Amino acid sequence: MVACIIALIVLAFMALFSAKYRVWFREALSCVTRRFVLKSCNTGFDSKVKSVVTAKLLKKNVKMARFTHKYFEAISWIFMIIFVVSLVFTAYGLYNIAVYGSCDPQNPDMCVLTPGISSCSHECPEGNCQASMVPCDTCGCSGEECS
Amino acid sequence: MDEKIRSDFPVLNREGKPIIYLDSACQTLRPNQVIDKINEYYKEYPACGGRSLHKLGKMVDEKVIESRKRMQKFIGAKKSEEVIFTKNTTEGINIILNSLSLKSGDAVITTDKEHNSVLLPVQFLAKRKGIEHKITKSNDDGTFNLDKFQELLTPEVKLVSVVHTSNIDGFTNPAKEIVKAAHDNGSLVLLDGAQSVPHKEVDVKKLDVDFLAFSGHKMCGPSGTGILYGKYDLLKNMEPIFVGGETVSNSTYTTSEMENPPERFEPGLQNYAGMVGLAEAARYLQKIGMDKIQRHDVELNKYLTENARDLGLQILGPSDPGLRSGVFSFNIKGLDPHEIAIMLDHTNNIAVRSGMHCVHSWFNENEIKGSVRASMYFYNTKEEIETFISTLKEIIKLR
Ligand SMILES: Cc1ncc(COP(=O)(O)O)c(C=O)c1O
Repeated sequence: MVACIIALIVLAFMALFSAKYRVWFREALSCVTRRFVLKSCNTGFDSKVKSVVTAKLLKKNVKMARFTHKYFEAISWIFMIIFVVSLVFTAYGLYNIAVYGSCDPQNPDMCVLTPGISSCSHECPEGNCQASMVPCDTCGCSGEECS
Repeated sequence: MDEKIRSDFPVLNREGKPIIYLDSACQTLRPNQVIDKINEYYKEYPACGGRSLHKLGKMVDEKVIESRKRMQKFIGAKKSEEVIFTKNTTEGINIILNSLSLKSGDAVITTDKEHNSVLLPVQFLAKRKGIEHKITKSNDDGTFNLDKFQELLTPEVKLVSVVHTSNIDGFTNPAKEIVKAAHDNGSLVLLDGAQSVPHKEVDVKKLDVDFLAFSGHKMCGPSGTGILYGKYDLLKNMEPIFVGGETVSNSTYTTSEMENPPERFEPGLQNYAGMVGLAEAARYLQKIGMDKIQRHDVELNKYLTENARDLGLQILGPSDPGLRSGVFSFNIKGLDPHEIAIMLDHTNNIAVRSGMHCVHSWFNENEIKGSVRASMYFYNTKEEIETFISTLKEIIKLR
């Protein structure tokens, strides 16, 4: 089930670009909807995803393939939890931007999405500003270009 | 078999990673000769058969007659009128079961390994008309138990409908003995030849079988083609289940005069491209030689069984591969059959079938979830079988 949800999300994106994945997406959707109404996933989609992933790994590393095959459900859960947690953080960040103008209202400088804050993260030593480098407002060369 | 034969099959020669096709029990690959014949119809005489008097229409008629004769020879029928073109085995079986005028109190015997294409029409007859359905059980190794079968033969048994070669395990039931016992009882015999006709010589006269149904797509013919054979005198006294254009010679608002077989059983415009394509497939197989094909299938199955011995596979059917035709059905303990099939496909492009192969009843009865089925044909090679075995070895490591 978890594998189907993860696959559904990934395939939803991939289906936008390739017809090949649209068939898979439909299968994942049917599997997930059936599971939500407590019916079994008759397309066998979860085991299909597991087998395809395992087969790809089998060609590269048997141990990894065996591990994935054995703990596929657990691995899917981990991905699911990571996905849900990042979804919650993203939603919280967007809420903060909408309400406070920055995704981290305590520390607006740390939020790259805060309007006016550039995404440059590297240190720019004083006096080392050069032309034709990326614009960088946070490293003390405001208005100029620095490395 | 030689490389020359493989070069006839476009799918085996396409660019990129080669395909190892081990799903011929489902549908076989098609050689260029068959594809060209199908195209020939569409390019050269794409018209109606049996009715139009123009040149193209006459050409279609000639080709259909030729094709029917070719199929007659292929199965050793007495007359070409005994050969009915259908769309598959299932249609042929349904025609016979529903045209025989079976009634309440009559009984039909089938084996315990029938494809749904036999089981379901018989079940429906049992429900709708109250016929009795008797099932003869196979031995534990999948072989046929003639004694048990004979015990079921009572005067009520009007029809014995048996699978010739099983699509689960490749075992070929002793058709001649079955026909003899059934005829001694006054029962007719319908043989499901879907898996036998493509792989060995099946001669309806020698077997003395009353009806035989098989599919074109399992013998290098076009998809959605098949043949129903019936002894002429039997067919002549049967009412078709589908009627319409071509099945009658004349009609008024209230009456109609039935055509003779085979037209009686071929309603409406037909799949003419399929007919000529199927006849070409029969010609192609005969040119290779049915004996040679049968020997090749068994040789590959022996090679596979021998070399897969240490893998600990649970093989369905008799342990002697010589009795399993080109079918190698197995399970790996701890792994799901569908997963194995997908992994074979995604690691080395190996196409096999998994599941219950439309014989759910047998799998359910034996409490087996399904199986992986590798089915071989004359275009498969020992090298392909080696790749199949080495891939299985990798997959087994997942347990
Ligand atoms: C033994 C047997 N009988 C009948 C059939 C049905 O054939 P078709 O689907 O071509 O009608 C099959 C198909 O796999 C088969 O293997």
